[in-house]
Amino acid sequence: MTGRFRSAPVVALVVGSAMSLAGCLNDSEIDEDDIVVFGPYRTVEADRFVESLEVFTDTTGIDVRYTGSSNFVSDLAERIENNGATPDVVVVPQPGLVQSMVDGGEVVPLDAAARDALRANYEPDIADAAIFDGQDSAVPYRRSLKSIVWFRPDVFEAEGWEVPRTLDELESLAEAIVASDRDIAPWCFSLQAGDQSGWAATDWVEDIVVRRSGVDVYEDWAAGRIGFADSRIEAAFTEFQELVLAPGRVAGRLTAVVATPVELAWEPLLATEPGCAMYKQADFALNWMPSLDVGPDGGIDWFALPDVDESEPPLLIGGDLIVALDDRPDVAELMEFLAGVAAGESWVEEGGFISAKSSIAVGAYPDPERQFIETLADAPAQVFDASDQMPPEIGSDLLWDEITGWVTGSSSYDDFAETMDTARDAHDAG
Amino acid sequence: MEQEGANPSVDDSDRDDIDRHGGRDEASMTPLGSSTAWIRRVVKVTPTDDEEAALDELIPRGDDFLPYLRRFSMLTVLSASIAAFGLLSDSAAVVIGAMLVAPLMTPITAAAAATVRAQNDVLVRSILVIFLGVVLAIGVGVVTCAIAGFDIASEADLPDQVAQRTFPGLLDLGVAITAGAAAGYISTRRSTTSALPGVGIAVALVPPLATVGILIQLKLNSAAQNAFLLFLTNLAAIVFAASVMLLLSGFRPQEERARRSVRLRLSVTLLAVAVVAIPLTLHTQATVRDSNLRRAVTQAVVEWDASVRVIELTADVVDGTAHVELIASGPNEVRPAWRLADLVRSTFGRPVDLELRYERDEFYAVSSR
Repeated sequence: MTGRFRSAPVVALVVGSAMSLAGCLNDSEIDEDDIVVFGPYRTVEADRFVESLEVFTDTTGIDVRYTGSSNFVSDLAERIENNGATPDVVVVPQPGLVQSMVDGGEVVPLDAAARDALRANYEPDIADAAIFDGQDSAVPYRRSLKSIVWFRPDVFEAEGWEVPRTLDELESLAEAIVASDRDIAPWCFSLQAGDQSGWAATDWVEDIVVRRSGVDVYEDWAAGRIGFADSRIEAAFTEFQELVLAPGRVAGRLTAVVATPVELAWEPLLATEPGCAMYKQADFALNWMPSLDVGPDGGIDWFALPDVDESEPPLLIGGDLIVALDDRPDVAELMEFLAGVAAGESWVEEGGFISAKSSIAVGAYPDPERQFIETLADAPAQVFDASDQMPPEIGSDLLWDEITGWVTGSSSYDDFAETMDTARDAHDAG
Repeated sequence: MEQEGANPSVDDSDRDDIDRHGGRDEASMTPLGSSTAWIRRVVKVTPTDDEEAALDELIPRGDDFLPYLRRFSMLTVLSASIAAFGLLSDSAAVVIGAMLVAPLMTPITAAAAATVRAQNDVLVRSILVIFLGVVLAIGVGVVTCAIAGFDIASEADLPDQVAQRTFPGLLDLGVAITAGAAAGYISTRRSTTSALPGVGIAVALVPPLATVGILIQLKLNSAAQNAFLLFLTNLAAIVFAASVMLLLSGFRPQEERARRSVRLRLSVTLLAVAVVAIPLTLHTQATVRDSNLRRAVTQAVVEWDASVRVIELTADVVDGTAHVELIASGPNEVRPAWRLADLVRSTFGRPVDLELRYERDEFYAVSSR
């Protein structure tokens, strides 16, 4: 008897805790009327994106369910082919893929309200980028600056390394880093991203093409008017290979390049004893790294990949478009919200995000995003990611696969270029 | 029943004596006082002189104190060393051996007895001895880990014997309370001392402290704090439960004034138990939540592709988001991972971050002659 009395409080405590736990779970029931959004944002970026849609749910009562995948392009194709799994709305980083979906009749054009919001909140050239086949088909959501080189100011200062002002100085710096006593490689780099592996390598080459050969050659290459066999394109691949991939140039050697998830490529840079001195990746890499002060006195700093001379370099940019694949009124309401000024504001405040909207004041951004926007404004030219402009079966599929093969040495540049150009010719002819 | 059997001579006059000792006063005060008074009326006990003496002998006084302290220190160092080696070599048997050598239960039981009998000098001495034991055992853990040259790449590589002491839950509190009650019961009954080793094993005191030392040496401070929480849990629960048991056995302060302070003293020990119960409850909640998540993932995998086998599953809930790392294999082409993530989210009801590695089962039959 007495034993039972004594143990009663403990039992009550355990049972009470378990019951309160059961009550905590299941806080998000799924409704068939929810708007299903699919995109490439995962982990922190997925959280930020979903948070930015809370205003919409609060004001309309319409719930949005978001899923993001590292295999976004192939998963989206599978969902569209699979009856019943097509998402209502998609976030697409590749304009070429949007064009392909428009061609396939899958995209629902914006309604009048969304079009009005688009014209009111975007610069005309950005709004025009959302026009496909003469119709406003997408809402530009995010802009990204890809020509960023991240570095540790404490390491540069300790070693007496200077931020390079030209591409040649960058090569000299890489040579100095290799020759230094410190056990450190010049670069952190990896391209593993599931079936999207390779995009990080295309960004590198694109930045070199536009610097060495100029905007016109770059745009001709992106549009397929210049092939991969062109000597100027080959020279950019060769420069990338010698600058970044040659023995001793990359942390963890080619094994790490192939095996490390692209979101974790920064890890050697921020290690207590850094394994690399520089890391070229877009502004959104801040979402992948631990929270750090950015700047000369911070844990990390950045410079724009320099031009061939000391002038301001042209900048490689990327951008995410949002398109509707369903014509329900709720979905149209969401598209209008996304084109409006409130969409993305919370993400702007959190950092790690540059909105495509001009109606969000530069002053609303924290540093370093404010610096990125000012750098973009000062750039003599901005070019959009070439592989993302290409038709998806070329840029988002074949090129990513083939460049990965070329990086690992399983194919020569000639074979790689021939495969790419043959496929492009066949696509354009078809 | 056992208490009645141990004191067959208790009669109505004893009961009146118990009541005079404060039982009715307590009954009119608090639920705790009410319960203990009621139980005391039912069990009808008064400790014998021998039982009082047994408590007095837990920590020697006068000239005997220093020799005791030397013995205590030696046994603590030895038991902590055995525990540390057992923990590092991941040997449960060796760690149990350390528990049998450990002398910490005695001053803790003495602290409980001093609490009930309002012997402040004994209480202070007990606390000092306990503090000495804590410092020695942690120090031995640090030194042993350093001498052994033990190192790990990450917390996941900790030996099981160490790792299982870094996340105490409510079950540990339950063990400590019941073992503390047993310690209180045994401490006054010389005929039951054969049960002491069982109590020592049930409520391991030195291994958590040696674990703290090892984790400090490995610079895993958060895990070290949790291991120390396990020790504090044992300490608070034993003092509380042993005090209650001694109270129920009829032990009281000698002086009338001191009797009134027993409620306050017991409340302090109960408060200590409540304080450690808060993080333990959170730990238990996390354990239950992770277990629910694992079940949700397993269910979702079956719904995703019934032919898939789960090879390795790591599931954790952090800041409300389920983090799932899954290695699976199956005979078919992998189904889209987004579908699995959505299924887990639907089943578990929280946001999910899924990392999936899928291996295709491939079978080869070869004959070479």
